[in-house]
Parts: sequence; C-alpha cells; structure tokens
Amino acid sequence: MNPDDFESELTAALWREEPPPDFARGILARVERKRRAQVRPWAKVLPWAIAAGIALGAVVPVALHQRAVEREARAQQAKHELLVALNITQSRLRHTRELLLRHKS
Amino acid sequence: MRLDFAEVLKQNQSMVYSIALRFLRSRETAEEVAQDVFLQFYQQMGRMEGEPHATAWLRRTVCHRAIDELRRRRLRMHVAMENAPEPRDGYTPPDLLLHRRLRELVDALPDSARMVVVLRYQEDLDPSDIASLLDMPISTVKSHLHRSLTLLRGRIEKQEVYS
Repeated sequence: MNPDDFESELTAALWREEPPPDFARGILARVERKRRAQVRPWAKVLPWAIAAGIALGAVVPVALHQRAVEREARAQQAKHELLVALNITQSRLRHTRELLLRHKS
Repeated sequence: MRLDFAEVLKQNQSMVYSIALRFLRSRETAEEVAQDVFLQFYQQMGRMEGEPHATAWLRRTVCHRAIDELRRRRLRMHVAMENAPEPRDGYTPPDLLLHRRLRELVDALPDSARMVVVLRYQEDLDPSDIASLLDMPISTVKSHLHRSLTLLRGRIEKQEVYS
C-alpha cells in the first residue's frame, strides 16, 4: 500500500462518531437548570430562610414567656421584702408607742 | 454576534465527542468530558465572535480537558514508540475490516502520538495548527506523525503477510 493510499485509509478509518442519543438532550436540560438558577438567585436561599423563620417562631415565644416568668418572680420577691420591711417598721412603731405611754403615765 | 446554543451543540457534538473518545478511549469518560466542555462553552458563549470561533474554542477546550483527564487518571504510558503494545484482540473475526484494525492500532498508540494522529487524520488539521492546539513544538508534531505512520503501516503490512 503506497503512503498516499494508506493515509487515505487512515482518514476514512478515523471518522467522527456520534455521541449517545440522549447526549444533546441531557446537556440542554442541565443548561436550562443553570439558567433558572441564575434568574432566581433567591431560590437557593429560600428554603434556608423558611427553616430559620420556623426555628425563630419556635424559640422566640418560649424565650419571651421565660422572661415574663422571671419578671413575675422578681416582682413577688420585691413584694415579700416590702411586707417584711413594713412589718418591722410597724413593730418598732408599736414598741415606741408603748414606751411613750409608759413614760407619760 | 449572538449564537444559538442548541445549534452550536448540534453542529459540534460529534467533533467534541469523537476527539474525547479517541484521546480517552472510554465512551463513558468521553461523554462526561464532552458534556463538561459544552457546559463551559455555555458560560463563555457571550465572548464568541461567530461560529468558526466557537468551533475552534470547542476543539481546543476538549483537547485540553482530555489531556488533563489523562494526567489525572494517570493513564500516560511512558513507552517508546517501538515498544507500543499490540492491541489485545480477544476475538478477531477472519474478515476484520482494515478500518476497524486501523482504529484499534491508533487506540494503542502512546497518548501524545495518538492525539497528533487524531487531530491530523480525523480533524484534518495542519501540523502547525496541531502544534498550537497541543502547545507542542511543530518538529515534535511532525516527528509523531512520521513515526506513527511508519508503525501503523508496518503493523498492517505484517498482518497482511500473516493473514
């Protein structure tokens, strides 16, 4: 086989093969998904934002309730201490009155 | 100039896939690489200056991606041309066509030689274009072509002698 004929045969042997039948369809589908993601960039963040909102919705009321309970407890404590102080004052006033009455008589 | 991606894909898919297939010798890997090349092209499409530019870009990109894939998979065979193994036949039908045999022989060439032969005889590129595409000296390209043709012709003739 002369060189020119051999090169012709080699050219004929190395024909281009077609890719699998669904090759183009698969690429176009991936391109379309990319295009949609670029048009709606917030779509990636939305599920996380919803999850964060749900978590906050569960946590915040509990935290608020806890603070209210603590505030009530502090108020009750202050009330108790005031009553104790008033009782002490009342007791001392009574004692002073008795001393004065004794002295007068 | 605004290109239509689907049209570019249709016009160039066999070129991109075939180059990847000849370089990588694996249909599955060739399909993956070819898909990645077209997805990369989609991102770059706005920079193309027309269909010839797009075709040249795709050809160059698939060559480089295939070379990278070969390096990554460590499929480089550091064998001298003379020691390139005969392709394994398994079953060889008596009426094996010349072209099928030639493809098998080309597949068995060392990587760099195979790339040069594919770009010359499948893509009909000049040695200077091949040198530019593969970032290879033109003298190396010509050397690969000369030695590959000598090897391929020798093996075909040897088969003809013994058949």
